[in-house]
Amino acid sequence: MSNPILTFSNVGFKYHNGMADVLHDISFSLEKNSFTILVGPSGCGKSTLIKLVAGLTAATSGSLDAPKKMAMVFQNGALLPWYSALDNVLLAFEKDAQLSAEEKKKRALDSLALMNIKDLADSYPRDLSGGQRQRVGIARALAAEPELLLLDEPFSALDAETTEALHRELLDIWKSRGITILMISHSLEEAVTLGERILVMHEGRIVHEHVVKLDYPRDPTSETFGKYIASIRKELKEKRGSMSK
Amino acid sequence: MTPSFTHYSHRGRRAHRVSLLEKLSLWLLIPVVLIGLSIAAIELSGTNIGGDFSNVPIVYLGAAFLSSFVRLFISYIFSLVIGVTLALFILRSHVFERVLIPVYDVLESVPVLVFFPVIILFFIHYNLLNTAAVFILILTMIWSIVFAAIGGLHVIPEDVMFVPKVFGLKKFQSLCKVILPALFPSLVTGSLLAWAAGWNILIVAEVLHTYVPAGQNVGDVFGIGSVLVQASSSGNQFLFLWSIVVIVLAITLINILVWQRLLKYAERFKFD
Repeated sequence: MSNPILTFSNVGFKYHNGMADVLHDISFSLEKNSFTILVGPSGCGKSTLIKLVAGLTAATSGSLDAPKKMAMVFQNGALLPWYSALDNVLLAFEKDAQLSAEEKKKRALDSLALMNIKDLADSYPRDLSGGQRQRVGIARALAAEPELLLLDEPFSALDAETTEALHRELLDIWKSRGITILMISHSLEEAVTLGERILVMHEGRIVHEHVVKLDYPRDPTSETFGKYIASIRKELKEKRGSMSK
Repeated sequence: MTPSFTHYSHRGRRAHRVSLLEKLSLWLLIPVVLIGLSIAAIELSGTNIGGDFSNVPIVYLGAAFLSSFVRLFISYIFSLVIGVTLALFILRSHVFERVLIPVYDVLESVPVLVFFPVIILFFIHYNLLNTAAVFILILTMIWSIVFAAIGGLHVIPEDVMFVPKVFGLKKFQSLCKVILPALFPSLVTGSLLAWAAGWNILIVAEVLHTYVPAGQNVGDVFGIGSVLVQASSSGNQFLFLWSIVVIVLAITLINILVWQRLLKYAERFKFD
């Protein structure tokens, strides 16, 4: 890979209480400006892997090289209920002592505007819908101007219509801002809709890698898309078959 | 939509419309009580509690209540600061949590009155009567706050705990902007219980002479708890009954005007 922004080299992780390894020998890298999706069943280690990338926990073996400018969007937004949408976004600037308060506010409002929720700046999370909360979560992450954006199943609790709208907006942001995205999803359809590359995890390992060959924009309701998903499922089934032999 | 003027039921975790009595207490009784307390405190601030209790004016009770309230308030501030600090230690690591929680359990279960005579003798030796009372109150009040804060730490969603790390907040920023606000609902509940425990132990904490060996000339500390006991033992039933009325009335008002409001306000700090 010519220009990797994130590199995992034989990374392993296990808890100190003697339980089985959560991640085994993970090696992969992300090219700058790429959009990669990690898919796999619950408990396969996706969230642990993204926590390692974010520096929320440390690898117990191997090495990883991640950029410093990174932000994360959490599954349920992880907004602080005592802060307004604007104040939640302003958290992204807390570490930045050089910016003036006015500049921070301006940038935070710009970020909310990017997610089409500038008019909700003074609203509190309890007054927002699930989709609006997740928009605030994405706005907060984008305000930090990350080189690498991590998304931990950000749309799993949203309805289909909101998810579709957010998919479109996320793709627009990715293309216009030129950031690198690593996202977790449990849905193969979502992975094919959004990602350039899909990493399939199973029992703490990356067992398969697939480069999506469909052009953007991808329509999940189209026949081509359906056939493509079916072909990946077949590919995965064959892979599992060969692994079990 | 929640009515703006509501009564919060902690058990039911829901708000009700306030009664006429509560509105009256807010607009009429509180100013009257505060004025009364202030007059009493000014007029009787120099009174010695160790004197004759058979013929004490009722206005004395206002100053006594104020004195007890300040004593409890000081004890509460110490309990809050120390209690939250003790609870935050468990965040350092799982090992700290595994060791500290059983230690706190044991310390909490030790009856504070067992050590009371020893503590009193220690403080009396240095002529620190009020400090003795405050110390006992802290030992009583602190555990409700410690365990409420520990409970509060456990209900903060993991993702929310990650937010300060992901966005590079310093530890102090993380404490002020995330952890302490997240603990606020638990601390309100814990504080309510701490004050209830404090009122319960107040009489014991103020009536110091009971624990002092014969021959030492030690009086009680001035407060509504000691006045209550002295009024009873000196046969002043009128003062005794009025002491009870003042305590009941004041605690009811504090509940309506402070705790109910804080419990309601704390709702906005709760996670879904």
